[in-house]
Amino acid sequence: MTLSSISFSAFGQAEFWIGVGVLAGIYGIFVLGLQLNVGFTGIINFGQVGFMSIGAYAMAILVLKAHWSFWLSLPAATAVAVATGLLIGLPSLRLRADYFAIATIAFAEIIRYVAENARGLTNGNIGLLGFDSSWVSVSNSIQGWLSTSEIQLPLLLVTWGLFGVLTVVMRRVQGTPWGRVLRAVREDEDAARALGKNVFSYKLQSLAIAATLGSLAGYLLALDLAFLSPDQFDPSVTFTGYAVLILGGLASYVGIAAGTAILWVLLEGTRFINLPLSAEQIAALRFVIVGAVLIGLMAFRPQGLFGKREEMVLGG
Amino acid sequence: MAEAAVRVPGRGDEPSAAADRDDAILTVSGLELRFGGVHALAGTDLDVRRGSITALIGPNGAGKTTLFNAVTGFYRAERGVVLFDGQPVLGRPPHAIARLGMARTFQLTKTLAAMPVLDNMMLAAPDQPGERLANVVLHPRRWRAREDVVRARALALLDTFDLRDQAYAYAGTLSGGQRKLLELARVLMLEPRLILLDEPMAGINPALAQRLLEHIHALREREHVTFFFIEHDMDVVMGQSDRVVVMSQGEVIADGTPERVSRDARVIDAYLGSVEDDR
Repeated sequence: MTLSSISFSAFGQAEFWIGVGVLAGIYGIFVLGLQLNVGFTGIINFGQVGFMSIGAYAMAILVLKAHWSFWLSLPAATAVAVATGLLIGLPSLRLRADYFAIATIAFAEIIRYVAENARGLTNGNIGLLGFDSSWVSVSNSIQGWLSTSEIQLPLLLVTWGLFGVLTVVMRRVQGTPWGRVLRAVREDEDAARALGKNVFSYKLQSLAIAATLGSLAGYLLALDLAFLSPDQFDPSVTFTGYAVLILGGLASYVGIAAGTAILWVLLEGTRFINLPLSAEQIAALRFVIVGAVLIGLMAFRPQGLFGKREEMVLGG
Repeated sequence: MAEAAVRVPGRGDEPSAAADRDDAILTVSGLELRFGGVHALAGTDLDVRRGSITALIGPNGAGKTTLFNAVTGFYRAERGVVLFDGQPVLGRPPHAIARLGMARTFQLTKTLAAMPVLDNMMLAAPDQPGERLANVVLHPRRWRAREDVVRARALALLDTFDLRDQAYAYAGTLSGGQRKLLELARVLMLEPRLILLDEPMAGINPALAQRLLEHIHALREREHVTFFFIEHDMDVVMGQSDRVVVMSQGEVIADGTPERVSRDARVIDAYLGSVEDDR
């Protein structure tokens, strides 16, 4: 008698794994922002999904309601996200780290409720469609050059290409005197102040860059789904981002790429385990597995797969 | 308010008092700061002479560390004047005051534990254009050139403080005494004219303490750095400083040479007397 078996019917399908890869890449970009805040500045941002949401909605609304060109709407949407980041950061970054974390989660929830209720702009829970025609035509030409039948392959290449470039940029910036000040802020704000560093300004810059990265992830997610609705931006997105960060290891860039790939393969791959359970139970089981992996990591490798143990122990 | 009007005894009878005031690198007058109902600083008045090694003593709770925090901008004083080199600094943020040339260390060392010793040092260097994001992108040569200068200076200082071998180790792996040395070395990277040290000798072994004192004297001689330090060890205070300021309950109760201060009746009453009792 077989209690479980793994069906490989979909397991080998390229289309499915391309979809998983796109999501992993989007979360990679998303987590680059979290990494900068949490791993390198020591500010606990629980509202990263808010910036993602603002990036996606600003882009879609500019295209659909203001009839902007899609390509112009992208930098504009990022500018809106950055402006919001500054607006949130100005009053709340002076708070202690834990209060700041609460303020950011409230911010992200406010954005989601606004998206649900400002129906004139966002269509509420019905959602927005049809903002991506410019991208679809570009995607089709890329598909033509590659002579492939995989519809999502162009988006996969763009997402991982962007993720790769951003990872290199963030890493290099991290190695500059600017990045050194951020790490000092993470270690001890008063020490940084005593050494002549304007701590508040650096925290604000860190948050603005996280907002930029969040908005990029936001419009990539919108293109991936070709649809926007408020429930795509619930707080679990931020916490999945944290799971990637913890899995890969705080303050490690290789860790983000590995973490996001592993997490999404785990989350999506477990769809193929056939158990005598209902669909809802299996959906819940996937998160149980991810949770178990994270608990195991915390117990046996708290610095994550690629984090530095010394920084973890000494920084505590 | 009555306390604010009390002048420091022992100052008026010195013939050179007026000249001292002119040559003060730090002047504090009428500084007031309350925590709830407690007057942590009750109209504090004092001068620190340029080029001196001045000790700040007083019983626990006298307001010594509070004074340091208020003077360096970490606490906001409610009333009073603080002049650093003739410039009013009250109300300025701590980082701006540090950049003016008044640097400080902390009672509990604040080394950046998860950063290498060398990074701790290089961080403190002023005028690094690479600390602005725009320059990082637009002027990579400028900040790299500055970085080379800063690294050389940091390594030279680490050499002087016998920390060169630990340059690439995490600061958190240093011993308590080495951390105190690192904190002093790091603060020197700021090229300050006045350094406020909060209990620099606490918790380090006598040999390291001796080295720290030698460094302080050498820096005063060679680079004309002024030192203002809180210390509980009476041997260090009486043996190493040119001037001693005594605080009690948020006020300065005596100010003068170590000999004069140690004979002052109020000081003996408020501070030295209680130390004798402890022994």
